[in-house]
Parts: sequence; C-alpha cells; structure tokens
Amino acid sequence: MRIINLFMKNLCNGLSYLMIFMLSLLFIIIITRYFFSYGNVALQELVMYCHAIIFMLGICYTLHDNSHVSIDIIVKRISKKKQDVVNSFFNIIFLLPISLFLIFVSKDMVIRSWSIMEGSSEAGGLNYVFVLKSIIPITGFLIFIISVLILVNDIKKFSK
Amino acid sequence: MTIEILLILFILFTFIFLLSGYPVAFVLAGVALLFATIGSFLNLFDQSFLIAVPNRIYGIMTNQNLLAVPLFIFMGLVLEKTKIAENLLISMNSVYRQSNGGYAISVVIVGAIMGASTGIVGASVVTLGLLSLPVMIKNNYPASLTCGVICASGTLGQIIPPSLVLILLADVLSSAYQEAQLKMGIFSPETITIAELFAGAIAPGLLLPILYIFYIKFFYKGKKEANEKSDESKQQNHLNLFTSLFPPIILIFIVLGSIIFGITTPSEAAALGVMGAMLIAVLQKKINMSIVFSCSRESVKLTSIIFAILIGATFFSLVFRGLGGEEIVQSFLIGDSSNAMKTLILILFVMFILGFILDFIEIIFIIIPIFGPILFILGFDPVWIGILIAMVLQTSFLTPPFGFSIFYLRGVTPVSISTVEIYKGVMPFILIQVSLLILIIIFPGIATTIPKLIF
Repeated sequence: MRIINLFMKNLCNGLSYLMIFMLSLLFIIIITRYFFSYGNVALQELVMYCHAIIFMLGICYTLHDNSHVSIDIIVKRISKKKQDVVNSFFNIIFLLPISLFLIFVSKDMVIRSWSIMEGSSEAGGLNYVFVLKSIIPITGFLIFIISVLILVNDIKKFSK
Repeated sequence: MTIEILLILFILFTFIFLLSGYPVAFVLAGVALLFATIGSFLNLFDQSFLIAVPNRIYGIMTNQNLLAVPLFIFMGLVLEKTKIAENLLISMNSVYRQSNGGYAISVVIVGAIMGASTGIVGASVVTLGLLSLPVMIKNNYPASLTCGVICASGTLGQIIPPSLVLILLADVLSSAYQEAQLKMGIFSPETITIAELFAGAIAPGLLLPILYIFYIKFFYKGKKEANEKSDESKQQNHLNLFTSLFPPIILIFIVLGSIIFGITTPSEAAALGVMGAMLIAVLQKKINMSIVFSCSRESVKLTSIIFAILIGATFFSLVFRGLGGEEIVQSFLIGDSSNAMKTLILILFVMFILGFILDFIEIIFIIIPIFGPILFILGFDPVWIGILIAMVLQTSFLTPPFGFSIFYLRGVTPVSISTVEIYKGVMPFILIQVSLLILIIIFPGIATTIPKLIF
C-alpha cells in the first residue's frame, strides 16, 4: 500500500514535468515553423503522446487523490458515515467493473496493434501507435489497483 | 421489459446516482456498463456499441482540438497564481473610485479581462469576491449589488473568448454537426472550428459587460466615494493602471488573434499564451520555479478531471444510443412540433434547468451529443447554436438556488451577508443575460456576422 502511495506521488510529479516538457515542445514547434519554416510531424505527434499520457494517467492519480468532480448538493446533508457506505458500494459496482472493462475490451485492439507494430498514419510521424494504444489498458490496470486498495481500506474501516 | 422502459430507468438511475455525490465520471461510465449488461441479458442491447469504447477513447487521446484544454488551463493558472489579475483590480480601483459606481464598474471590467484570459469561473469569482467585496461594502455599496456584480462578472469567462467552454463546445458541436449532415445525406460534412466559435462569441462577449456597466451607471446612485486626491498621485495611479492593464490585454489579443486568423492552431496559441503569461509574471517579478511547478501540477489535475468526465460521458452516450435513446428523443422533438424554433427554445430550456445541478462540462459532454444533431437537422446555423448554448450555460451558472457562481461567492462572503441578498443581487444581471439571449435569438447577426466576415 505504501508502495502505491509513493508511486502515485511520483506519478503526479512526473506528469507535471511532462506537462512542462509538452509546453516547451509546442513552443519549439511554433518557433521553428514560423521563423525557419520547418515543420516536423514527429514532434507534433510527440506533443499528442504527451497529452494523452498526461490525462490518461492523470485520471488514475486524481482518483487516488479523490479529487474528481462530484455533485454534492444533496450529499452535504447526510452524515459522513452514510456517505462512506454509499461510496464503498459504488466502488464495488462501478469502479471495479470499469477497470476490468477497460482492460478486457481494449485487449484485442492493443494486441492487434502490437502484432503489426502499428505506426503513424502520417508520413514522418512517430511509429509508436501501439505504445499509445497500450495506455488504455494500463489506465484500466491502475484504476483496478486503486479500487482494490480502496476496497481493502473500506473493509478495514467497517470491520472496526 | 421493453427497451423504452430500460432506457427511462437508465436515465433515471444515472441522475439518482449522480446526485449521490460519487464522482461524475465514474457514475456515468458505471451506470452505462450496468445497463449495458442488463440490456444484453434481456437481448435488448447490442454489445457492439460497447466494443467501440476503446476506439472512442483513442479518438479522444489523439484529438488535436482537445490538446488546447490543458494549455488554456495552464495559462489561466499562471495568471491567477502570479496575481496579475489581482493587481489589475487594485490599480483599477484606485483610478475609478472617484466616479459614480466606480468600484462596481472596475469589477465588471476586471471580470471581463480575467474571464477572457483565465476562463475559470471559480477562480474569477473567488478572486473578485476576496478583493472587491470588503472594499465595496466599506464604501456603502448595497450588499446585493456588490454580490450580484461579482457573481455576474465572474461568469463572463464562459462567453468571452478565448474560453474553455467554447473549446469543448466546438469539439462536441462539430461532431454533432457532422453526424447530422451524414444523416441528411451530405457525405462530405462541414465542421465547426474553435476559431469560428471564438469569432462568433466576440460581439456577445463584449456586449454583455457593456450592458452590465450601463445597468450600474443608470441604477446605482451612490455617493462620491473618496476624497479628491492630488493630481500627482492621480497620475501615478493612471500609470499603475496602464502597466497592469496592458500586458493581459495584449496577451488576449495575441492568443485570440492567432487562433481566429488561423496563424496557429488553438493549442499552439494557448502555449504562446502560457509563455506570455509567464513573461508578464517574470517582468513583474512575481514568478519562480515552484509557482510554475504548482501551476503545472494543478493543470494536470484539472485536465484529467475534465477528460475523465469526457470518457465517462462517452460510455453514457454509447449505451444511450445502443438502447435506442437517440431515435426516441429525435422522433419526440422533431415529430411532435413542426415549429423548429419551439424545439430550439425547449432544448435551451432543458439545458438551463440541467445547469442548476450539472457543471458546464457535464452538460456539454452528455446533453449536447443527444440534442445537438437534432438542432442541426432542423437547419440552424452551428455558430449561432454554439453561442446560444454558451449563453444559456453561463446564465444557469448565475441562477439561484444552485448557481455555481453563487456557491463560489458564498464561500468567501462574511456571514453577515445573507444568501437571499446574493440571490436578489444577481437577479438584474440574469435579466440582462436573458435579454441578450433573446436579442441573439431574434437577431442571429449578433453572433454570426463576425465569423462570416472573417471566414
């Protein structure tokens, strides 16, 4: 459990660096295009890869961090304990199925992509589409780990 | 059980579970999976709809328009955390405090500029509330007017471009528009770009704060607030105002201009915006690496939250479609009323009501894919529709009892100001908004002229 917490903390830091990296890349792209009329498809696709990694893995981090948006107009008025019960119920019926779904449904797409080492559809693009597609089951796997973690915590809490 | 009953249960349970306070993104995806499973057991749901999910997610990952989202958020955070907006408000107050209703007008102007540059409603309302509210109350402004003007100005960021709402709206409307055209047998469908929507929002976005200011000028008869100051300090104040006003305005022009005139893509313009905002902060000596890093971290989080809802909504709309929801809604709306305008107003009204409980992100991602194609099949101008939707969303932010803007302000007002007072204060501004909305419906030219001139 401590390992996961540490991993998530580092994940957030890593993604923040990636964001700054993406920003610099875009800046370089603009400068080279408008001042040296040099366009590079691979660089542009690299920006896209960064963006995809940032928000897909970011979703896992924000889940672990419990900062996803919820509608709390009504919930504010019920006791903390009831809220906990509701949340752990939803963790079982929503979060676990979502994570398993993401892993198993994207499996075929990813395996197919790996088997042909799928490259970019544009000339001069990055030929790592199979890596990009793998992010989907990886996100599913991380959500699975986090939901199991939450479940274990809930069981401990309620058995007290 | 028939498919209609299953569909109604699906929508009903989605709403009930949304209100349970569990994260929106996971409720949307979870309920969709649950009902897809039930539907498959009853042989009412075609599983091929769900198989499309990974492809849709991959589509979101590679979407060039949505790439602008994290960057605009980043720019807004830099401007917020380096207190560039705060400075603007302070120096504007010191110049305009002598004029009638000066503080209130400064709030509108700063709200408009902040809105244009950051576009984050919560941040604008909180900043304006923390800085202006105490000063205005001390200067004998009625509490209701004070709260009203802060709430209303804080929501201006929704409609004034460049705005996050318009970016997300452009993306979702564009796919709805293409879908509608395919249905009508047009096989090389046109799209709606972020640039077109931004261009369309310029006139309404400028009109709204101007109308606010008119209202304050005509209906607020306050006393002169401060003693006359010497000319020298006046000049100093003007200089301060100049130095704090111009950098953000230039920044807005650069970002907006390069998008509208097609010089850069929206995401590149937003990256320029981030660099520009950092440059301003460096010149004003207000930034260091730890601020940059915390902005980056915040934008990672906010971006992920938005995309989580987008992905959750994708699950929702695929299952909604798989249960035949689209045909039902369309046959109900198009078949029932021959009057296209009536349908439009009905749809806008539904969005307005939903705006009380749902955030703009959820409305854009869940509701527009359902209603959008219908509006386009009826033949309405896409930019006009986009602006109307943005206006409606903005108004519902402001409307009691559940306006988000009001919630944010409530968080920073002293207990001595009652919530009813805030409600009273926002009423005139809601009226202004609704009047402008009606004006745009009657005269679509307000929204469509500028895009037509440019594109």
